[in-house]
Amino acid sequence: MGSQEAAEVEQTVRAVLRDVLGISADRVAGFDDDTPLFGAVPELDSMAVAGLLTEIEDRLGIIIDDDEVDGEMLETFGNLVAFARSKALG
Amino acid sequence: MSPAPLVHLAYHWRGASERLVRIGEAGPAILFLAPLFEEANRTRHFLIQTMRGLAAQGYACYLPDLPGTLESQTPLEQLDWDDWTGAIAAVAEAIDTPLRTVSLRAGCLLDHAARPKARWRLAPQDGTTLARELVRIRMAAAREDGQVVTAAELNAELGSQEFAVAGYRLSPALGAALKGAAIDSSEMVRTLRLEGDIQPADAKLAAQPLWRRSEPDDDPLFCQMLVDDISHWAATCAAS
Repeated sequence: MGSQEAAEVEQTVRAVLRDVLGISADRVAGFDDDTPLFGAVPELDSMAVAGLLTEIEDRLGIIIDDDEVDGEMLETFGNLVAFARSKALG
Repeated sequence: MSPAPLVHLAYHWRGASERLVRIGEAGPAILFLAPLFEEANRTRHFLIQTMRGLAAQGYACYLPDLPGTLESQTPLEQLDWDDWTGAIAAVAEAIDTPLRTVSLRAGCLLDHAARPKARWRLAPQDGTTLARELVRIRMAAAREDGQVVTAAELNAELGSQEFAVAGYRLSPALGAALKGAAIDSSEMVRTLRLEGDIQPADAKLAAQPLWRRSEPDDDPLFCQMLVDDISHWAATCAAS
């Protein structure tokens, strides 16, 4: 996978987190692979998870199989980006 | 000039009186159609502000509550899709003047029912996508509760039995119709989307999707972009 494409996917995931959770761009810019998400970011409730997945689909042009979505994939920012990359870039 | 007041009207539908608000006394009429379900709450303030901006430009803006949503007293679980299209037709009849429609998100699925002369849409969402999102909310809620349920099971439930999600109870008929509700893209439609959305649009705006926010938010610049685009569009399609 090209590193530029990989970086674009990460940027898209950051933008979706900012838009869906209504948190500042600065705060999202500080997220790294180990930043915990589900259960750690209070804004990320069940409604927000649904919006997050749909926005990622819409912006990356991918389809996410809901049965693949589990606690692990949402556990950290790094896991979420890795999942999005695997879907978008193969 | 003081801003146009918000006037509470009502439209009558199946013996019930449903809320309809108007901002702007005179001028060409624009019927606003809010997104469906939770997004309607999140965007209400934003829609009202947009209506105020258009009222200042000389438009009479209307925004109805769909039966079973917002402040409606009608039980949602008793309704199907035809009830919603019928309600929008009743709104158009109550306004009784040629209409343009402005819809946000899945509100576009109902705009044809008003028989508008032209339609404007922001980030239209089809019923299939919205239905998937309702299933997702239930899946995420189940995950929080430590329950195991598959997307296929919930998807089968939506449309075959009453489906409770995020405080709403959808009848089987409403769920089934929602799943199949497609965006009618016949003539006289202008579509705007946000930058980053890869679907086709007549123009793309640099703004954040307020309808995604769990806490209602406001964005005066975004609002002004809509007022400018809608007033230009309305003036153009009035001339044609």
